[in-house]
Amino acid sequence: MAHKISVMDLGVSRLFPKPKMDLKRVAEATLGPLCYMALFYNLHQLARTYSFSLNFMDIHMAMLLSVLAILRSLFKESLVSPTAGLTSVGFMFRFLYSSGSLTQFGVIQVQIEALTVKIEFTALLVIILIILTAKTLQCVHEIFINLRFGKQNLH
Amino acid sequence: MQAVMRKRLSLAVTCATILLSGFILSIVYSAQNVSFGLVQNVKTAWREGRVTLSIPFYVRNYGVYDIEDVNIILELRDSAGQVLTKTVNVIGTIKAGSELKSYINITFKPLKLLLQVLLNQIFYNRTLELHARASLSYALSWIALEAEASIPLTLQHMARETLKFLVNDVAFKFNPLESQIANDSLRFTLPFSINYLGHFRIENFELDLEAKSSAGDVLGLWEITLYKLRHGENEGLLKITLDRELATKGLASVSMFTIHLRGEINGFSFEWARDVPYNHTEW
Repeated sequence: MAHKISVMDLGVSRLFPKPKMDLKRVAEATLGPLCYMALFYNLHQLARTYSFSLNFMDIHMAMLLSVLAILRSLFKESLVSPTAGLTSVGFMFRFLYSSGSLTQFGVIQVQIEALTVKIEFTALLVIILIILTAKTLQCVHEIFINLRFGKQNLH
Repeated sequence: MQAVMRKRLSLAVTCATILLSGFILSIVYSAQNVSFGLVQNVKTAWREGRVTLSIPFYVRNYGVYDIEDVNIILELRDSAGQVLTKTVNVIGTIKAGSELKSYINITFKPLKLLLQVLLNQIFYNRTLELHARASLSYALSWIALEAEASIPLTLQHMARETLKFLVNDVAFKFNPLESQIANDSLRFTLPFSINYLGHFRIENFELDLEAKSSAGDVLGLWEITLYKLRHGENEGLLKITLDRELATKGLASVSMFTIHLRGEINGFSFEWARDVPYNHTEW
């Protein structure tokens, strides 16, 4: 006697397609982490020169952001990319707020002995957020296209 | 059509990301090539009841961007927050690839009123505050920086926060054979040690206060000498010389005080001297 088995394909695998490993993508995955490492190294040197400390300016944060940048670059069509992007932004803001450095939007405050230094970069931060939002929307849009294309192929 | 639009948008976002990353990296790299510091020898100028202290400094901007709208404001405030004196130093723009040498000035005016307020504040143990604020714009005015520092100026506060004053081996010496001073003088020599918890390195510090009569005779001399004041235990010397006239008649015989201060703080030497006329009926 044959039993009927129903299988419902939720299509979750379409959210995680196999990454396309072309030269452009590999170059992007290499360049991103290099930029993060260079930025953190220079920020660390700057902090040493002017004798102040920001809790998040360490190698662990740089490595974490670099790994997330690699995931973001390689898995562009999958859900991994926007997740990695939003995770990077979340970690950065979490460290800034928890260390007490980001007192208000676009203002970093550091203490150097008796001196209180405020660095205001509101306009720059708005531009950074706009670009990050555009990149995230781009990723999400590509995922939707892939999902729709995949659905059409199934049918 | 939609695919073309998507490609263009993607290219625009990529270009914007590259430009932004380059800009941020250039700001951080450029900031590392900016240095500033103080040059030795503070200058003092006295004119029409005002005193101006000029502190020479340098800024080396070998970065990529100009440092714009540099202003340094120095204020002396009393315990109620009232501004006793305020000096605004407009430095302006320091071009990229250049070095600027200039002065930070602080002016006290009118001098007599301020001196009375300062002495009252110190004697009644009220806090004076030296408030410094510097502001500038960097990287094509995308970044604004503001630095503030407040330094309390009461002797008791400094003693409580940074000094522990211990007195050892008080020695008295009476010398009736001084021929330069007409009357007998009483001389105290008081070695002391200071446990210093601050961060400044002070060397060859000497503070002299002379009390003079109307004839110009030195009636009293108080000298505090510290050869070195560094973090930890330090040795110093307090010498007091009192003329018989001052010891018997008190401050009524004094017509002038001369204050002389010199020393080096973190390798930065300073010297300051001032004659202050004294009338015991007015004070």
